[in-house]
Amino acid sequence: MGMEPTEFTFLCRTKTSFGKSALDHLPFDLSSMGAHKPFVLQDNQTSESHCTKPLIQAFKESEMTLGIYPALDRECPVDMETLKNCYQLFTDKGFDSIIALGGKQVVDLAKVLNMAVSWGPEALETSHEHSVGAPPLVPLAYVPTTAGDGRETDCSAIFNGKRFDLPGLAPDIALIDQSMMARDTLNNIVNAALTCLAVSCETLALSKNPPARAYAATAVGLVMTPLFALLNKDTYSDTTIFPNNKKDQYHLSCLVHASAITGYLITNVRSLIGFKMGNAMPKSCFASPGRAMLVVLPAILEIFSNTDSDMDLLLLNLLGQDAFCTIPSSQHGVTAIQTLRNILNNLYGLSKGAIPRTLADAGMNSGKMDIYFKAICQQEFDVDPDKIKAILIHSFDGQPMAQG
Amino acid sequence: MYIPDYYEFCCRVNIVAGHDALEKIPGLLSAMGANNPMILTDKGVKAAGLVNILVQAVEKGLTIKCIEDDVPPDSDVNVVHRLARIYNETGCDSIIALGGGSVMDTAKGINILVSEKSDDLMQFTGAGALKRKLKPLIAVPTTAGTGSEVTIIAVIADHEKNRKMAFASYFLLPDAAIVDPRMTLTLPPHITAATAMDALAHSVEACTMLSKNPLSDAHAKEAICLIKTHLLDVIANPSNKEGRLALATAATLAGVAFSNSMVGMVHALGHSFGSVCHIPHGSCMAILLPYGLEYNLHKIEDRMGELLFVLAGPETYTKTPKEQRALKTIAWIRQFNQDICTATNGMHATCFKDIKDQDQNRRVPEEMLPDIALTALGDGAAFYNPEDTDYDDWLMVAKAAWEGVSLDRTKIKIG
Amino acid sequence: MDTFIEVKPQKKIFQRIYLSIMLWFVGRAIQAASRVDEQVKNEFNTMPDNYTFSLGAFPHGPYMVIGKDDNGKVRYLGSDIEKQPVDLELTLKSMAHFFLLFTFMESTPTANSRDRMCVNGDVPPACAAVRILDIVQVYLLPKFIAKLAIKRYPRWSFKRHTLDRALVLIRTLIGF
Repeated sequence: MGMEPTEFTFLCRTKTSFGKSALDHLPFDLSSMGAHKPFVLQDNQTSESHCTKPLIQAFKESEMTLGIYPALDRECPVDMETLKNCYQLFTDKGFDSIIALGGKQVVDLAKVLNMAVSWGPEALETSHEHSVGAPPLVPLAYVPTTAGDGRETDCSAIFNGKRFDLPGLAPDIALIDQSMMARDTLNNIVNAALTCLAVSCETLALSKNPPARAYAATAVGLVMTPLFALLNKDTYSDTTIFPNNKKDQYHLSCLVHASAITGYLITNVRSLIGFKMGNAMPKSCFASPGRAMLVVLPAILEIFSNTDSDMDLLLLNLLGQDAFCTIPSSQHGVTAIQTLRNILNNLYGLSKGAIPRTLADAGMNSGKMDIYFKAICQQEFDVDPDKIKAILIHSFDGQPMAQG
Repeated sequence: MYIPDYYEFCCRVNIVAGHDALEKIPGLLSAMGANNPMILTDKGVKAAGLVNILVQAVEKGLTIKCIEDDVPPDSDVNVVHRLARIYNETGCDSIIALGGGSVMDTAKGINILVSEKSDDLMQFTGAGALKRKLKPLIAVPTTAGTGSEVTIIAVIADHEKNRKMAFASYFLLPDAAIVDPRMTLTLPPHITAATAMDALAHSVEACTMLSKNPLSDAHAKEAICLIKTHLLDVIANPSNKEGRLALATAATLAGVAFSNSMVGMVHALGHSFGSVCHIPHGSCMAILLPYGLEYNLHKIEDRMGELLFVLAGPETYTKTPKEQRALKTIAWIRQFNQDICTATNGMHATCFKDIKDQDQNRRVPEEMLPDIALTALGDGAAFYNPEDTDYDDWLMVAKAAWEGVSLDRTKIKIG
Repeated sequence: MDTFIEVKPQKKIFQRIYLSIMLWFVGRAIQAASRVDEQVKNEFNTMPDNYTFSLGAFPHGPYMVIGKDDNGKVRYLGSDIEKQPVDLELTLKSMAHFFLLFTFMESTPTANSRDRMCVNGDVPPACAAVRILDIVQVYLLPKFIAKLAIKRYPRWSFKRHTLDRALVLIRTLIGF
């Protein structure tokens, strides 16, 4: 079905643990990596939701000591002072591993701290040289408490205005336990889900990387049901707080799992056009890059998919086996793209217009297309700029290319 | 999509695939600070000329310290100790393992000793003995079957004490698996078939056993698609490079799948046929796969029904009533085996009684079946099988697979 | 909380007591069954003499240690894993997982499939040990609970369900 493999590479250093009683595995997993004294970083959302309680409970009987750093303010970027404090505590008190409890900000700090404690603080200046043949980083476990945009599990960290990109930075473990889901706004949760959906769908349709397609297929399955379940409430509001019950917790944990997979895909599928375009769209128009990514995706697939069979796997994962079988193979391509448009339409309806279907819905100005185009082209694309322009034009009102 | 209450998934191996994947080895090793590898292989691989291809691809970027080809078909602890000494004496800093399961296991064993600076492999048996990263290890599989380039296990025999030692750790995973079709281009058709069926068995069991999870399912289904699309064509056209790459990729994906969701009775019984009667593993898998599915049918009917879509395609899936899909899956696999048998001019056996040696004697005498059933009792793969199995169950399945007749499902004790 | 704190999480007293009691019963039941039940005897016969195996929780128990002496006699050796070398360790990755298993919220095959357990030692005796545990659970537990714990409830003869069961239970209590 679909793509035949040609040349590809795939590396995911992160062990994913998901489900009931997942947290109880953590002491054993850390111990199997030679760690006995983890240093815990958290953010204020995590601490307000009392997420350290189940963590401490999981470490009972483990004979391990946890060092818990005061919660970071999610709204403020982490500064050098905080990193220095963490470094000092980590080294003085003999910690040997890191648990990042929370979201992107906590994980960025955890990754940078890991470089500092494993390779010395000077590694932050010369990280790339340090990483070649360097001793391994200390074990890093990521315990998400909300859905992210994938950067948590990729190989990058952003700290103090500097970006670090090293294969070893990805966490050793991504452990998703529904008891750890912190309360978060629907807005943030939906943004994460849409990023995941866009990245996964593009991978399924256009990537010739079989392991990436396998991860993407799983991510689509993890996103679709929970996303619509969380949106299918009577009133939509960006500020509605989830989770409110065990079912919400489970749905949220599936989305969190999917967003972890997003990170693996971003690391391995470098040619994601929608991902790059979404990140370059004006922030005044889109509440998050994920919303923009999904808007441009149908046009991307129309331009870049070569045959109907390219879209088989995407259509299969969007519709399910039984529905897929009712579609003639010559219509797989057009049906897959129409299904994506239908999803956008449904999301628009459920969110009372908050989630845009088109660039026009998002408030972009058709007269400023050249400005948007120039901003997008500052990203590194390995594609013809005319095609980027065509994507923008056809995403403006969401018309299929055959009609537009 | 089936999501179990809890699962884990991990594959820390950098999978590098392509028609010039071998040429990427120097870059991979130098990124790990290594430049002086030991090349580990066996005499069969060397005789096939694959070592020369590897050396030509990497020699400009590396200093090959030694090439050791004395790895026996069944990895041995004394060989591991000897080769670890050579590794240290020649100043190696990494290993390139070129071969099948035995070479991979031997390489993993050597890597333990040289990384932990030990001369006693026994200290590290079991799960949990290794606590830190080992030295660089690159795996270059030369069959498209076992998937041992992506597993966390190594099994090394101590022939003097007549026991097999198992080592399990995420640290045993190779740093990279090089999937290059040049390594399987010269595989004869019947071995291509057997190894591909091994990969198919890995994938099907990964999708149907107790530990199945969405990520292993997705990897397994990719593998199944590639095998069913390309195998017969590669048997007919062995020099088809695209097909060879597809099969090699499938084997690695299947390895990722089963190492995360385990295998079941097909492998348990297959290992037993292999250890008692020395039947090649791939042949055992091909023959036993439909029987394992028949035995477990009452427990995994839905999962098997879903697999019909992947194996036979959407049209057959749609035309088959839901309650018949599982049986159709089994029938499809039997037919696939038959097609392979025809394509290999009868060299691919469809039942054990048809496997004969050069003198036309049966390699599996019927009187060995009780021993095989007894051996299967000691195989851990049975833990992951959906239905329980005792000696009588193993014997019943072994007999049916020997005879080449369908299992009498009325005799299966249902749990 | 706005200061750095070090937390050494405490013990799970209730779970430890419960599991210790359960393991005491199961250990003595294994010893009893090895004297009474033919299948258990045969399973132990596949193990070498002077072989011990343990079942316990990471990192420090509670444990149950079973040993076969050089005369082939099977004994429950208590809960101290340090007293003698153990050839086979069946370890649950946390006490919480052990508790799920021994309160039958997760069956043995489920616990296995969910990576709750790890095995250190040779695989054939591990398979035998698990089968022994299954048989002993059938002896100790009422059918509706035993069915939650094992993969397939066995079809035993009337004698085995009644007389042998009574003998195992009596021997478990007496410790003989």
